[in-house]
Amino acid sequence: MLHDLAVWLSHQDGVVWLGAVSTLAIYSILYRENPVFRFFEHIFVGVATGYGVQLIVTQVLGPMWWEPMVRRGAWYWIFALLAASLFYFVYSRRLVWMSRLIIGVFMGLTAGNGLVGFVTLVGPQVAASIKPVVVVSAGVPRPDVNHLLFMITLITVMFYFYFSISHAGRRAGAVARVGRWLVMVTFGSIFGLTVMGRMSLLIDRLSFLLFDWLHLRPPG
Amino acid sequence: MIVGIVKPSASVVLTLAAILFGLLGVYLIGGRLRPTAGRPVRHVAAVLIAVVVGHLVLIGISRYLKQLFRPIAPPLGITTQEYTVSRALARRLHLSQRKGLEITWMSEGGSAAAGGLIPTDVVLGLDGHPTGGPGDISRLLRREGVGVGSLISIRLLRGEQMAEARVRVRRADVLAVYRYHLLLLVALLASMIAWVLAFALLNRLPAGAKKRLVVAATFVAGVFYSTEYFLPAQSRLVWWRAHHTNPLSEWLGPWGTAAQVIAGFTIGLGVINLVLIHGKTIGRLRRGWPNSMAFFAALVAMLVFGIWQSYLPEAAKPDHLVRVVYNYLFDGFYVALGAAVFSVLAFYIATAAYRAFRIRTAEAGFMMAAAFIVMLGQIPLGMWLTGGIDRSSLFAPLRVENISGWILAVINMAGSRAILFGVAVGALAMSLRIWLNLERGAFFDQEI
Amino acid sequence: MERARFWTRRVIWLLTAAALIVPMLVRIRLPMFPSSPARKLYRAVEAIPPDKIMVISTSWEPGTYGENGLQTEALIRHAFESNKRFAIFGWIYPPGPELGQNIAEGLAKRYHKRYGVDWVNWGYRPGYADMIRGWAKDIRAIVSTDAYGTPIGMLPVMKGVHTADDIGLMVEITPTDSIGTLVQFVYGVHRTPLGYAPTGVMAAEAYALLDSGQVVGLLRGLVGAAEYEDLLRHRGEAYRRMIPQSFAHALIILLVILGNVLYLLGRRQGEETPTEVQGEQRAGD
Repeated sequence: MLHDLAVWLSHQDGVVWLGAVSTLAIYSILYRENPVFRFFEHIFVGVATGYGVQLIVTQVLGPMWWEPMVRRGAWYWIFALLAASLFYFVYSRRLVWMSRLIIGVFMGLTAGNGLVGFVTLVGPQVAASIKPVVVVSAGVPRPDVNHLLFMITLITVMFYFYFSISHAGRRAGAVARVGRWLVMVTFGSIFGLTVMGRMSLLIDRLSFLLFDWLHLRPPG
Repeated sequence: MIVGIVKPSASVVLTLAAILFGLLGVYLIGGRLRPTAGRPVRHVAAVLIAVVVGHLVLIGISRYLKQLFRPIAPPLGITTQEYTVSRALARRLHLSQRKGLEITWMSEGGSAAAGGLIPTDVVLGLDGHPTGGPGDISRLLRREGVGVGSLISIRLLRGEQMAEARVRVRRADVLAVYRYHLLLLVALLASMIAWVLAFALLNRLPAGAKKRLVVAATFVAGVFYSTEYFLPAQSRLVWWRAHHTNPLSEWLGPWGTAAQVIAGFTIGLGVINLVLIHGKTIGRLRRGWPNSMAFFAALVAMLVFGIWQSYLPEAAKPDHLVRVVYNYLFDGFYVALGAAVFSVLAFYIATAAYRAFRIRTAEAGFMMAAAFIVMLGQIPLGMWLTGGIDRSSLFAPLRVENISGWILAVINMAGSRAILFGVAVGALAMSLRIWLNLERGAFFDQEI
Repeated sequence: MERARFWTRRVIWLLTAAALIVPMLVRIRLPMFPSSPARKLYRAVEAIPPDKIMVISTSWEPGTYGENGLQTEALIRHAFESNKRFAIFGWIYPPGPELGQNIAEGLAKRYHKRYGVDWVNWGYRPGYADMIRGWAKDIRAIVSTDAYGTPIGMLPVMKGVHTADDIGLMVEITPTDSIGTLVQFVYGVHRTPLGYAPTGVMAAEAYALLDSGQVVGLLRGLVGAAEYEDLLRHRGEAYRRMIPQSFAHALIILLVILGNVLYLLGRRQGEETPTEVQGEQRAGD
């Protein structure tokens, strides 16, 4: 009987309906703060947390820790659990230093990676910033406008953010001002692309509501 | 002393590590690395002794720890799972039984490997006896007459062919048969006891020493990753070239595997936090406690059905009840709610556009102009607006998608890169400060 | 005043919904031209040699399905069409690989592709940079089984794949800045070609990586997905959504202009316009 129930459920639009109810419950916040929104918000946090835990248990801890340790005799994996248990001492007032120990180890690793990352991330960036401002074509030197603008923008914006030299002087002030104008273009681009990004997410949900739930037909 | 025992490049690492070990020892015990006034000789002697001791300890560690941290092999060095041969194949090969044990893992130096078995072989019989259940191999190896050096014959299915293999029983297998689980249990318990004892001892250290221990651990951890990258490969100074490896590189893989397991265990921290908060709300019947009940119900449901559908082989079929409930939870709740919560931001951008984006200065106007061009350049509507300009004409750069592309690729790129440089230098400074314990603040100045 | 503010906001929201819903229901055709970053990514996928695997790193979660989900779908479609084997991998958000797998399974029927032979799901691995550094040196140590527990060596699709050197292209699809870690430890150490498919928010900063060659191609959010579909000559969901997207952008531009015009008019009349941003938003996510 349970199997028949399962078959029937899987053929219905139940999942879509549940999705639509969830979506509309969240959108209810746009009218005003209400208990339905809060209820579904809590469900969201619960489901997200539960998903994370079950995934890690089944895909990471099971095959990569329990299997080798118990079924293949790699007993030393117990130290992974013991090391991770140090994190949980953050709840004990007396033994909190042990959590500091493991956190310190991971922070140290991250710091070490930071040194490496600076070289591998920034090194090629610096190399790519050396762009020829004057190119020679057919024996005639001419300025490359794009590269020129690039260099001006890069240097003035870097100077604008460099606060160890006072920007009060006339020349320093002028350079910083040019940098400020040019960095506005960057901020404008970020804004334009952010708007695009956020709107796409809304379009996705509306598409779900209109086409998957209400079965309206898309044009074309 | 070193050169004869280990390879030349490893000796470089060992020497560096020994120096590091020596300095750390002095730091942990004495608390300061700078020589105290009037006692330079004693200090230098302490460092030299520590370096020598460090060398010996590290060699001992690398030799004897490697012996200690070896896995206990299961019987024959294989792990298996139950396997049922298809009816058609069983009929074709005239098999009397369909149940077997598929080899899912094999240790490389084990007796099964030596006998020619490979993973995915299905063991059907051992010395004429059928092997269909999980304990059958161990049971059959415990038979009268089977001992160290015995040759056993294994009947197996490889792909769609039958095959025979002969495996010589080794001492490790005999031990494993009788004592695999016992040895495992002993090893696990001993490790846990040793760990608890070690930390009980460490806990008795004075607060200053504990702090120095944390600082030392942070420093050593930082040394590992950075040194692995910067250390020349085989004494060539070409660290900036890709693909080099040095003796530290072989530790990257094992540490990566360990790190992901340790990181996996830490998910409990977030769960505990949430459970405490919502548990308190329910326990004290504070306002909104039904919502906290919903949280727990959702958490438990996803946890139970997620794990259930993963371990139940029948649940792979889409019609199974467990799978159906899981789909409701995943698609109906998780995906829908997650997407909806994020999409609400779009509405707030619209109101912000109307009410908050005030163009009060010329620079703000310049920023908005750039934003408008970029926004128009992404969309077909914008491309249609300047669609009149022919794509191959001289004025083609004035098409909005080209202007927008140019702004993004030249000016925006330069500005972003400048910001990236600033951020990168800041991140580097922060990394150095954390690594060398120079960072101050609430977390770092905490009493230990 | 409070009631005017209350209803102004709701009217704007209704306008927003209308500006998106109406174009979605009406048939409008507008031209679209793929940009250079998207073309570069397309060429990079085409250039993957047959002895190397493509990695589609689904570092996203349900919240950004509207952008990253469509990007993933476009890339998987390309992989199927050009017969490139690929692996789905997640290392930032746990649900990423399952979401990617659902997309792949949906497309596999159409292109007659089989799991384990044409693609594999490596699942989610925690540990961030530590895991990635180890993974790049030895993939099979970190990914010893696929997401369903099958030992990785048993899958035909994994033939010859052992380290990051055996990856022909790794595309990072994410709303985060995880590309930094990959640039540092996968490209930086192994010179593995990287592609980047961020959401709109992160796209602006990505141009610096494209210029330096650390990233070989870029898809900017939904627009990027639509461009990619256009390059694949399959004008699907992302392409269709560019129409309501257009009207959304137009609406925002109009709202900014309108808001500023009204503000200037109000200032000229001497009114003190109160700061309207207070209590504007509850925490968004």
